[in-house]
Amino acid sequence: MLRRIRNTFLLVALLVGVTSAGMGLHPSSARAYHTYEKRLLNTTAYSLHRRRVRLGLMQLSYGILDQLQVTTYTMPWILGAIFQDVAPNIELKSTLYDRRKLALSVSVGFLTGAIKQPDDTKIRYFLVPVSAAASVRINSDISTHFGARYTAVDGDTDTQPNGTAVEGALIVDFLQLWGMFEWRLSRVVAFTFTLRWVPYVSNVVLNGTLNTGNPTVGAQIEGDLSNLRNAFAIIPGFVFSWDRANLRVGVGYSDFFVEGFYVVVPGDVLGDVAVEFDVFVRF
Amino acid sequence: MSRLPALTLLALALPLDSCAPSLPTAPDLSPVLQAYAMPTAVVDGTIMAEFAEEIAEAAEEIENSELLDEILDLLVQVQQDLEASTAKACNGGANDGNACTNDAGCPDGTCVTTGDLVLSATCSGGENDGDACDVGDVTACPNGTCGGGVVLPSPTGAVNVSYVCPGWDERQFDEDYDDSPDPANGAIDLFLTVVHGDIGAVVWGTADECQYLVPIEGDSCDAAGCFRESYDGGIALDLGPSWVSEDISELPVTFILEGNIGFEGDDFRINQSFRVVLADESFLEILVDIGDPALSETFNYIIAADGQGIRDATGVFGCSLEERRCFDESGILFSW
Repeated sequence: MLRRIRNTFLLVALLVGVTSAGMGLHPSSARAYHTYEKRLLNTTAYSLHRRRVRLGLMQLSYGILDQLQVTTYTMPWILGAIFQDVAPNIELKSTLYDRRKLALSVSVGFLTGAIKQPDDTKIRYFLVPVSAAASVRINSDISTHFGARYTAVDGDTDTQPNGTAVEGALIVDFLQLWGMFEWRLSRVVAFTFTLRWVPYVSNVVLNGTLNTGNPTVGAQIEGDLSNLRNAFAIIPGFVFSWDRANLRVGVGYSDFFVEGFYVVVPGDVLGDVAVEFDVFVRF
Repeated sequence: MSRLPALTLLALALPLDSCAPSLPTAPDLSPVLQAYAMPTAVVDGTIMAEFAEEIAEAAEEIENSELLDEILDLLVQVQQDLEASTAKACNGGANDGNACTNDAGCPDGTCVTTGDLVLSATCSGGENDGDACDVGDVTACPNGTCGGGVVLPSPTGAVNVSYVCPGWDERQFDEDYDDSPDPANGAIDLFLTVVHGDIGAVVWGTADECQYLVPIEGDSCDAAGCFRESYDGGIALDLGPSWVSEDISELPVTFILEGNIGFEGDDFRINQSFRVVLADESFLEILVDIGDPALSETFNYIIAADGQGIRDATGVFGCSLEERRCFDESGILFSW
């Protein structure tokens, strides 16, 4: 337990250190403020240009090419460490088209990890999110952004010596749509209004073995996840962009769309509060 | 930009990996059940002259075979496993909506099933902290709670039961017998459906040279030896609409068998539907199909402790295969 806590603290410390280093050690090259070139990256079709870096508490991104950015979310690493297995994740985002007032992007990624059970068995998961986004610059101050993300979730578990265990695979697919209105109130402050909606969630499909004795009991069962269908969130927020630091914060209503994990937490779990937050630097 | 089409293709290809598999569907037994409920033949002496011997043979094979017990024992075991893994919650009272295992945990309320299947659950707290448990097992986690794992809300699908048969080793009834499954003894593979957490009434599958012993007297072969029996062929059965909430041994179970029954070295071909009640060993209802095409003309031959009878399109009347005649309250209807 102590080792787990120590690992978690080390990871958080490393993350804060990297972000601070980005803020403190690169003052001359740190780029902020909302400008024509420096666009919001989350929930938009924009990506980092080549060799540009975004270091944040919630995500770390790097521009491989002018049209291709790689991102890793920090929470899966940190929470994964708490549960004794880090959760590697990568998302590649490419701005296919960026001309005049329109930008289009596609992205694909993966997230994998394991949740360790008290009896040392593991529930492993593998997520593949695929998304497409469009951004429309109505004028220099106002933009709108739309997108869709399809996430495929595979999971599997070990068997257990007692009880009704499961050994096999779980599958869930879901689709998320979003729209964001962005209004640049000044070069420092941008107001955002984000809507997220899940119009489709497949049933969870279990294909596995419930009992490995004699008789062996296998199952191919669908669980009903219709209560997650039509999950939504309405989140007004702000993005502050100063000389070095950037702050993204938003608090809204209904279900919580967990960035980095690509999943939705039903609103009744968190009192119908949806949150967006990140602190980051770009250089 | 040349890399972009490849990225797009990758994006489209990856989700295909998680296409959900199609679930097995139960065979439609409603024509057979309808035939039991609404027999269409009008039985007379000519018909009985043709089919009486066939009915008597089928009755003897079915009564001699303990296959039905083997199959129903399996189903009861699976039913108990699934029930033990079904989450329960308080309905009403002080703990309304909270998880429970029995009514004692629901002051002024009742503990009812939610229909959600919980697998790979573990004890949290108490003496068995961290151990695997079943959420429906009251005794699994003393001073702790059983939860976590994989929750399947309102599950629908199919369960496959694979059972390696016990074989013909007479020591299998001994307490210290090593009952490790031996595939050489044959196997039974059954499917059953789960619909919104409830187990479906139809069970189907196959037996592959399944070998088992039937004690002639008592519960072992010690007193009078055992019959060596086997079954190889298809199996389908209907447990009726209320089987989950009732004692399965009290319910009329409709079987359809098509295969070979082995009895002490002899093989009998069976292609027959019949209905039994396990608790009433003497009860047997055989569906006699005399028409072409199948099930176009049927009647039921009933064998019970208090006598035999026929249910046909005209109603129910008594019969005796041994005396070769059928009768009602007014006297003999016909003989053959």
